Amino acid sequence: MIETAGEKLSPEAYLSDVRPVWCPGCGHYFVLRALTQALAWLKIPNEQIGLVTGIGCSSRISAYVDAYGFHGVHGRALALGAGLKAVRPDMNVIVAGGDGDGYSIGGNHFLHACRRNMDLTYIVMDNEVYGMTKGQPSPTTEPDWQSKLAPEGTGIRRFNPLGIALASGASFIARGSAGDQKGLSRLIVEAIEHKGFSLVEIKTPCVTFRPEEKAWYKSMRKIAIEPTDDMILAAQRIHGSDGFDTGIFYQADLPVFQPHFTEEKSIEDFEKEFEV
Amino acid sequence: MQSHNIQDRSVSVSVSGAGGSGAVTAGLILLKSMANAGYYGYMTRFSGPQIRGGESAVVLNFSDSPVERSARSSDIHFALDWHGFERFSDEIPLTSQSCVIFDNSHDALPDSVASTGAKIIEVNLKDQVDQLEGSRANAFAVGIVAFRLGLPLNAVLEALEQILEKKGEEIFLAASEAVRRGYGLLEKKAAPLEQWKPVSHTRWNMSGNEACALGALRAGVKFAAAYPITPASDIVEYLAPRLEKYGGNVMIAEDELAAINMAIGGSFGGKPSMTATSGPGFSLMIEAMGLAIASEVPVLVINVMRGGPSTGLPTKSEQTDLNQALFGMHGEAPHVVVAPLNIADCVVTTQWAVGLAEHLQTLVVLLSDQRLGQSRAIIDAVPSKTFDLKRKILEEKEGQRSYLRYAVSPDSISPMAIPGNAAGRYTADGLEHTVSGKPSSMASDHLQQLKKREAKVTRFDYGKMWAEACFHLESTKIVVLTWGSVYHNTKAAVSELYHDGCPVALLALRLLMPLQTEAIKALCKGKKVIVVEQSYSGQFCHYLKGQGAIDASALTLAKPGPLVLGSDEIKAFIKEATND
Ligand SMILES: Cc1ncc(C[n+]2csc(CCOP(=O)(O)OP(=O)(O)O)c2C)c(N)n1
Ligand code: SF4
Ligand SMILES: [Mg+2]
Repeated sequence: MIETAGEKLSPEAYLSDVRPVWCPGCGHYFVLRALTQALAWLKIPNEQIGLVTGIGCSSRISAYVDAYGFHGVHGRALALGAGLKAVRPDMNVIVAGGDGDGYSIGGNHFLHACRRNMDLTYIVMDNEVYGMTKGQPSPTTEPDWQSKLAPEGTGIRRFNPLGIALASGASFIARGSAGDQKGLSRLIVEAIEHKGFSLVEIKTPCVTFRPEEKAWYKSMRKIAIEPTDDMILAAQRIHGSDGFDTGIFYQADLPVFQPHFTEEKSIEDFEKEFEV
Repeated sequence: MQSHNIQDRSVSVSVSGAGGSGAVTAGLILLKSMANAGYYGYMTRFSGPQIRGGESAVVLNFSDSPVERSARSSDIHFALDWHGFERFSDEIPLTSQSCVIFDNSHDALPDSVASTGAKIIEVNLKDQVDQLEGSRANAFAVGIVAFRLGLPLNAVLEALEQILEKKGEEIFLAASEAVRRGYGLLEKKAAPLEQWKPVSHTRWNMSGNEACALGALRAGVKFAAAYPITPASDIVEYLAPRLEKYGGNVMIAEDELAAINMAIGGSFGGKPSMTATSGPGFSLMIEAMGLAIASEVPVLVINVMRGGPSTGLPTKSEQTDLNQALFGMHGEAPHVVVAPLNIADCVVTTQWAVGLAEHLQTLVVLLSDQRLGQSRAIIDAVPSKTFDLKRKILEEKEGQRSYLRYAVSPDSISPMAIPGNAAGRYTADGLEHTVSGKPSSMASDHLQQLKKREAKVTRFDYGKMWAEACFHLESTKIVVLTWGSVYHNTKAAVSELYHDGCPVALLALRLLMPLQTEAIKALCKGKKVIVVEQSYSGQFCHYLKGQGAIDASALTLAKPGPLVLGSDEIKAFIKEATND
């Protein structure tokens, strides 16, 4: 829960001195703001945060937060984050990226991160486009959106991240809107505090390649969905939503994968096994 | 310089049979029995293409001094049946000097075996098995072979107990009785072992893959992530139950893309980390290997090579991922590539490899291969070695906030901050960056970081580990250059020639990148150079020539897998090359 006691921290305490390369008005700025706000509310020491990202405009966020960051390769942030968490359960590992990074090239890791249910927070800045490579359709793009690469639209059904996360075993599934700063910060706080794999899918307009997405600021509904741990109910809400609802669609107490280790053996013990 | 060790006292045994006949178990028992009796041995195994239940064979070579290669032909071959035997005709050469014993309750003796002129002995093991409840033919075979060799019965029974320990009392009792009966089945003959000198010191029974894994443990690896692939899986299978009792853990990755990235994440978190794979997985890892180099995160990738391209020869050996390990990454990506020469060397070289990765904060690729990885041998215990190679870590200092992760220091290695240290927050980046890690595409930053990454790897003093030199390299007229699992047979060939008075010496490289060009050049200058490798195109030779380490006039004996490059073949090649 949001900590209020003691001295208040400002979100700026979590901003690095690297200036974002994002276009003016890009929805990703709001995510950076909401994330730093959430961290400030939680007062997590900067050095206890591991922020791992892939490649894309959204994935640049790891350089903008004052923490231990890793800006890796396209699509593999969840795997790198899982490795970090495996050896450093003490760290708050947050993985972030875009819809292309997470649902397309990194799709397999997304499935397995959900089913592994490690205690990670996964923030996806879904602008329904590949921003960084200048406007190609992504897995969440609507089938009739026309672009250079697909002049007539892709004609391919959209990927349903929340539905897939639910089916794959994620224990916290939420959707937020870049336009609702406070609500989004709250969702991120809940996600970080949740024990298990938390997906926060955020609708963030790409003002450059999909200016029409600015309408999301009006069309996205403020948080109205209340958490349930009933999978059937969650499935109904996810599949019944027109995509403009925000809130926690599913939150359950599921077994969390965290490799355990002890120090009961010595190298001599292992060497003995070979002896004849 | 190493002294030569002539293996005049050695005997070779092979066992074959249909899937489930227990040929491999028989081999394992014989190997262990020999060890118990005070000898050394080397075992390779072969199987048909079927996943389970196909024919399989083991080829063993025993001696009273260390041995790590197969013999030219089998002295004794035991056929539990002749199922699919023709597949092994290359791996199990029989000659008129061989003695073939077979269970005649299955198929008749194949013509191809009869025509070798080998001495043939028939036994009927079905009758034996029928008379002894719970027994299996392979245990009788072990007894027969042990008797023929002159192997003491108690050494075999001891091995049986060790191997069948977990199978229960009943199985052990039946097997030991079968061994006893097998032992008395054939008439007495002069047994080879009568002339041998047993040793009494402790030795190890170990495969190359196990040796790599032990080397990693010795080096302090605390995290491994991998996706299964033949012939590399055994490395992580060995590590999984042990690492978690040794302060670390193993993650089962969803694919190799994940495996290498997990390992990078683990290493970023402060733990020495690794992954192990083979060709197809290695290809998938390439992009992230570049990430480890660019972001300067230590990581070890073991590639137990098999024949390629594509799925290639999954269970057979080749040295053909060399080019990829050296040059597979896009951009300019200086890193380290090492290769062990034998099973004991797998322990030491893996330990060294981890140390190099940690110290140089970069990617180290270790190239093993199927032959090295999956052969098993009785070797002398590998003494532990200390390499003074540690990760340079940023100290925790309060109030300090001026950390430059990629600062250019005299040795080009900058202290790495481990998450949790308040003084060292930074973002590791695969994007080109400034000294602080801030993304930058400026020419000056790129050049500076390119130089830094290159200098730390090339200016480092790798010491004596870089190669193994045998027979007087300085004064020789002919230098034979090789690497990896081909080392043993090449050494045997060179050794024979050397002892026949030929002015030949051997240089086997352990450090493939950065190539110690000047050192090789100095050793090869004015000499005839012959390169021996297991590839079709001569990758190693092209590499040495391309780097200017050897002259264009050097000759190559390059042979693709899966067949072993035999010492006779190597010897003949060197002889012919030096006669003209
Ligand atoms: C292996 C690989 N393939 C392709 C690219 C090119 N690429 C960079 S970012 C990107 C798409 C990013 O889209 P998304 O994750 O949605 O992020 P956004 O820019 O929209 O925030 C692609 C295809 C790459 N960097 N690496
Ligand atoms: S291209 Fe789109 S996603 Fe990328 S920074 Fe600009 S507005 Fe944002
Ligand atoms: Mg996008």
